[in-house]
Amino acid sequence: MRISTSHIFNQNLTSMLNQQAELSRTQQQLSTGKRILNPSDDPAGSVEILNLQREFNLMEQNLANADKAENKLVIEEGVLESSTNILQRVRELAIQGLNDTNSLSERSAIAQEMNQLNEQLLGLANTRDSSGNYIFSGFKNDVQPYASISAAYDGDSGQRNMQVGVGVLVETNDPGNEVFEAQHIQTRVADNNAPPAVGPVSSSQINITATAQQGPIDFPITLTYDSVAGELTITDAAVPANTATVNPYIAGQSIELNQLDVDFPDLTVQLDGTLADGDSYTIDTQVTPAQTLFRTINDFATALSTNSVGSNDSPNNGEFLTNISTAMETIVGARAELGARMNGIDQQRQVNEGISFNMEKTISSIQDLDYAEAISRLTQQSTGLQAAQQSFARVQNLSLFNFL
Amino acid sequence: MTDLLNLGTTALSATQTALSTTSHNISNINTEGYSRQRAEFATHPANFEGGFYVGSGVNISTVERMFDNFLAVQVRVYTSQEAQLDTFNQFARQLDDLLSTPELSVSKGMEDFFNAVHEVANDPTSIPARQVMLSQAEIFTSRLNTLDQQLESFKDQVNSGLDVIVKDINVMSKSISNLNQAIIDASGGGAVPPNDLLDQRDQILNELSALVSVDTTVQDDGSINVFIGNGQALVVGNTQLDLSLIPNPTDPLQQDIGYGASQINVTKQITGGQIGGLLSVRSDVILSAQTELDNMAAGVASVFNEQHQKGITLSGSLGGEFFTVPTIGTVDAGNIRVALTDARDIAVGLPVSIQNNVANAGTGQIEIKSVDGTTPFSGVPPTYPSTNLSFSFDGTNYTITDNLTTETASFAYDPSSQSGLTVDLASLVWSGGTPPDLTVTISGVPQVTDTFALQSVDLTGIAVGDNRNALAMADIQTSKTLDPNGTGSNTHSFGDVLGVLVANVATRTHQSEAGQKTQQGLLDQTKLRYETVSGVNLDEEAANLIKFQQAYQAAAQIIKTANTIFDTLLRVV
Repeated sequence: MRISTSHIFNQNLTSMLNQQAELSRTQQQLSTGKRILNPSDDPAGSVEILNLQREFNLMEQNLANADKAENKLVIEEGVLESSTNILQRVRELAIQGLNDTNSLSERSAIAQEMNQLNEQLLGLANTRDSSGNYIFSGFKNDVQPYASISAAYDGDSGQRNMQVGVGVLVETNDPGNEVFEAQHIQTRVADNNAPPAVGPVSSSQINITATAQQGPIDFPITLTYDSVAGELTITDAAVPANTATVNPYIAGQSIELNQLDVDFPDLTVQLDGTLADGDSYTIDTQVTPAQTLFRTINDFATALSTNSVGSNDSPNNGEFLTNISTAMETIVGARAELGARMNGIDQQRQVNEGISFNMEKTISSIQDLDYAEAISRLTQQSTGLQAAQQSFARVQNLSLFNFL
Repeated sequence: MTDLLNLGTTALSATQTALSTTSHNISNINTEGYSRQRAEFATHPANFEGGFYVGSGVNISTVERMFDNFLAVQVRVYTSQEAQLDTFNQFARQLDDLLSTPELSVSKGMEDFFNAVHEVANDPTSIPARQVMLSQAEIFTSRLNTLDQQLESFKDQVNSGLDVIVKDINVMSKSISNLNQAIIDASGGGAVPPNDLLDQRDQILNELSALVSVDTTVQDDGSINVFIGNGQALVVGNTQLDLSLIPNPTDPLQQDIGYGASQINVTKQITGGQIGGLLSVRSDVILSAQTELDNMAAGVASVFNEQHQKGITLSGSLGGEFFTVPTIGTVDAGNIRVALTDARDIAVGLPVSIQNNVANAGTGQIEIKSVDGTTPFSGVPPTYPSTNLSFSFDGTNYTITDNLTTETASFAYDPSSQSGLTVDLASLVWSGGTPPDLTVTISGVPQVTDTFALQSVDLTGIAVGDNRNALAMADIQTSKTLDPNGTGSNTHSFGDVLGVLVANVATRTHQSEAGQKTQQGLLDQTKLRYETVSGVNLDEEAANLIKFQQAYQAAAQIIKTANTIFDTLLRVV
């Protein structure tokens, strides 16, 4: 077969140019460290990278969100821990103050400390985060949740979620009214004796001498004295009503209501003074579903400073200890939930980190260069180019004209 | 003796012609399109003398052009195909590069934008976070705009490429028609082939086939007719028809190809060559990428705006358009812009909230899952009464009352098995009025008589820390909100559509690259075969040179012999 001289030349040239292009591509791969320089190098791979990178980016954002959410929860937990400590101290002071050996001045001093602690507690409820937003006012985080000791909650019940995983939202705040407000109970005694139109006013009075009642009284209980029979009738407001009688009843006699009927509250009462016919008293519990801690503490401190915390006093502030326990349970419950959320975040973070680590690995395996392979390819290609150049020089010298 | 002299002279002149032809071949070793020529020797007709035929020497019957028309046609076909794919690849690769440039990456722009939405959700009152969201949105839209401009400039490049090519084709077809005439004149009716003119014409045809795919038919008089497309004659004998550029009937910014004086649109018929490459890269890559990009921009604008408009801004009004919707036409990649300028106008909260009654004894919860319309229920945006919808639980059913219209509806809820129940309030049977456009999630164990109030937010005391709409907006990134294939249901997220766009361009680029290599290989092989016939080999020519030189020397010896014989004779006389 005859081959045209210019074709030999062109073919050699083209082959060298091609090898140079390949070499430069390998060189570019080596200098960038990437196997895929353009999407067209591996269309399927590059679309996969695009998708993986989007997911990876989202995971990173979720991880960043988780850090922020955890920061917020840590701040809140710190506040709740301090609040628990303050309440603990308030409770100790209350126990100390309720001791009847205290003088008025001692009680005033205790009340003063309590007010101080109450102010601190209010400050904690009005905590702001680093951006100056109140953390306990729900969505209305520019509004101070409790303007004063006696103020009602000004925030709303909004709970801000943050996305810490695909479809995983975590609540990052608690509205103040779910943390600093709790059920408040108070035993009240009502004197049903209407002042008689004529004659002396009844001089009797009811005293609660001991209480073992836990929580509110289920049904208001009424004690009525019948002077003819010398009998005290005790009825509650249950349907049907439970009734018991004490006959004879002598003024000053102490009765344990619970002993008369198991459905009666666990109270020990006595009627003192001169009993008149038809004297009647009702004992019930006033239940406020949610009262701020600040008001509860403040009311008690006020009562303490005026020395009106005896078992005889109505309202009987002795239930303060029950109320403060309920409040502490609320806060402890909120802390437990915070802990659960933080655990949830940690677990989600581990999941996210695992996923993003795997994604990074996959992205790398698709996109990154196998250096060993690339370097050996580079060597091979440069050897090939060299051979092409040398043989070109050789072949070009071969011509019959050289011998003429 | 005279015979001998004559005979020697014919040999001298024939070998001289052969030497000239060989020298001509050597001289044209580097001439593009040159075909090797060969002087054909033929014996001179013999004389009948004394009962015998005595040879009377040699002559050159013809100077033959070594040419295989079949191979020449094949070279042109492969040239056309290779040029088409090469041009296609050059443009597709540019777009491919563009899509892989990190600074221009739309998908990165979108990721950054949605990350900024997350940051706003994390800290809804932060004005800096809101500013970042606006500026990331601007970066995102400007990337779409830039990419669209690039695609427009590709279209311009295609137009100017077509302009140059059409002019070149016209010049070449004119040359071919002129050469046709010259060949008819020179060949004297096809008897004597004008080899070098034929080479010139074949070379122009080769160049023409790199621009557009051509069909040729050779006529008896030596002229050649050239056709493009499906039979449009470009050259017939010595006449020629012009191609021209005409504006596309639907998009005047696109140039189409017109044929002849009446400028018939032949764009669809033309294939092959650079012109075919330009036309196919325009329709298959540039225009389709632009359509995909436009659809995505329109989708982003409408889906994001829809969610944004359900939210409420820091100043207490319902969210407006986040991305500008033009009054005329639709949103596309070229005109998508961020409508908001004030970071406070980003609608991050929802206009409705649910308040649990503090007296509720149960653990029941009602949460708003989604606000489905811009006016979720009567009186929103707020005209109060502050409690617009109230929910109460009676042990088996939740009853909802619209306190403004007093219309009611109810649905069953079993706390033991249905916690997490999603209820679309609009789908319930209402006693009258317009059902609320809301979906709520019911969970937990409510106690009998527990109530919940669903109210529109209080304009005077906006809940600035509400991030529910921001979360909903951030969620758009991964939701399937677009239906690019027209399946009737949403199958693609924004990112998926971008992936499809990149994949399409990458695949086309990859295909054209592979195709170009294949065609290049075929072209090289065919050229080799063509060159085997028509190319000049210097060694062969050197050998011929020696051969003819020796033949010339031998012929000179004939003359010398004749001379010697003549001298001998003279001496005798």
